[in-house]
Amino acid sequence: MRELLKLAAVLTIICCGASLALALVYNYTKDPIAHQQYLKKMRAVKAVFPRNEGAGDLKTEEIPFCEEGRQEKDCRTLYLITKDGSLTGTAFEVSVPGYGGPILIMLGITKNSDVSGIKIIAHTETPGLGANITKDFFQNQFAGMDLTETTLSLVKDGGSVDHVSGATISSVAVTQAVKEGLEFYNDHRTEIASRIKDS
Amino acid sequence: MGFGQEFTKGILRENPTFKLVLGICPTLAVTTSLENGIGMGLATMFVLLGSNVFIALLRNFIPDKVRIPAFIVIISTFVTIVDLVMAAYAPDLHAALGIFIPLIVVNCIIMGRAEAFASKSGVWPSIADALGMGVGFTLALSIISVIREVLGNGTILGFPVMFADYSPAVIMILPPGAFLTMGLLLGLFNFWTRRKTQ
Amino acid sequence: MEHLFIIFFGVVIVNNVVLTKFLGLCPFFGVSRELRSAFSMGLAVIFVMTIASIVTWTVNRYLLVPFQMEFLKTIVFILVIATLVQFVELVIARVSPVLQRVLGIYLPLITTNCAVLGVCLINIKEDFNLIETIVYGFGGGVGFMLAICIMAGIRERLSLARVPAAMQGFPISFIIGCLMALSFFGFQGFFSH
Repeated sequence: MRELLKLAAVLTIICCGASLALALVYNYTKDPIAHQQYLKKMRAVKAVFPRNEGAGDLKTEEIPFCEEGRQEKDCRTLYLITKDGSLTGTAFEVSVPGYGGPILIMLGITKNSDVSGIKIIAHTETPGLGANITKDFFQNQFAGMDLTETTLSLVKDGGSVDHVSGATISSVAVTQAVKEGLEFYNDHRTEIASRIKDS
Repeated sequence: MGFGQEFTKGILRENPTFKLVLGICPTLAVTTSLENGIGMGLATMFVLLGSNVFIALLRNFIPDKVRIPAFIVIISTFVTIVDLVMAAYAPDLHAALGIFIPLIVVNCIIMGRAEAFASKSGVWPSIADALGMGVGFTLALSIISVIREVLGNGTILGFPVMFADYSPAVIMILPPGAFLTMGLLLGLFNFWTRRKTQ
Repeated sequence: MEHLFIIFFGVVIVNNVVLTKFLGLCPFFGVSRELRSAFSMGLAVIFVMTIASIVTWTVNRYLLVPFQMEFLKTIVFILVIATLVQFVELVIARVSPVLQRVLGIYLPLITTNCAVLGVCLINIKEDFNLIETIVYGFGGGVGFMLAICIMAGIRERLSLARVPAAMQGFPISFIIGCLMALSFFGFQGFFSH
């Protein structure tokens, strides 16, 4: 019995020490981690609005946006770029299934409903092949495209998107993501614009 | 054995990767680029150092019967510290290593050193042992990842090193390349040690 | 239903835990000398991985998340798995001597099997619900069993082959692993259409 108590006591002391140490480290790193995640998002937002770089009076607002009838976890976060209180652009994340798993892109849309830029934030595509969708030549070609033309498909399907060689499926997936994002924006553009006045 | 000898044994004579063939999962999984390889090596070395020091300090305090759970708690504490600190100050590396950071807990090298060395030795030899094993592991990861990055991507630490129209053998940074590199290196290591003993 | 099948097929074949996710490599190379022991090891992993997935998912959902202690995930999961393995060992010894004879010596090895902890962490990372977690955990075990049994089958035949002295043992096993990974790689992108 005494031995059992001793064993329990030793383990308890070690666990207490461990949790104390972890609590300290957690408290110390909590804010930097949150900040890093925020920075990463902001860098992506900035990257999809290349033409606005250096303009100091642009403000980025983060607002939650829920489509009707959707569950709370399916809500999007919209990043509204405003200048003197009027909307100049909207950015948000779109996720589509790719070749090796989901591809997450940040999509920037100007107030004229065309693509300002895209940035691939996360993907699990094959290194050396599908992973080349993160290369500039591929990402940059989407700027200026919109839904009214038939440009949003690969060249070999009659569109104007050059695919990454050896990675047709990944290229189609990104194109699809841009399309879905634009459709979402067009369906809700008045609602999005109205949000600006609320805040 | 002195401090120096305890240190150097992990690098060649008892190299955890090439001689003892321990901790294979991270060795194969994260060595797609030199940066990841070194990051993983250093993270493992930190955990090894922390757990070895604490286990050596507490070795007379922890009863034999509960030593395994006690070791697990100590090791996973250091792993969580690495995980949090890396997420805060090296987010890109943290994302690249992914689930293999928490999995340092079950890296057999760390448990193996705790059980075979630190629980029986003083603090100083345990530090030397941890540093030696850590450097040995980091070196092994670096060798594997340099080979894979150069052949599979044509770069070292992201800088192009091959001639201009080198077309990378992508297979080397895919899973099969990991097994192939490791197998050939182990064969080479065996070949040398056999020649030496003959 | 289709979606559960995709998860299962994905973890067994397309993204095999051992050959593409690099989990559980130590037993994959260590316990694959004979088909019989590989099979027992595989059974033990399926068993523990399924239960561990359920338990760690529950602990995470109802204990760690409500109290905002997700940063303790690693430490809590590994302790839960270690305890669970001990517990399963005790229960098996009481309930089924046959099963104990088959799994006996392999169960303690599973505590430090990174495939079990890895799969439990992936369940949380992928935000699976309980049913998906069970399917993924079970599938992970089946994937491990498949890989280790193929490996053991090849290695049994290999004992008749003349392998160069320096390549015997681990080196040749890694080369076999390479060829297996290469063939499983052919399944990549199976679900992308």
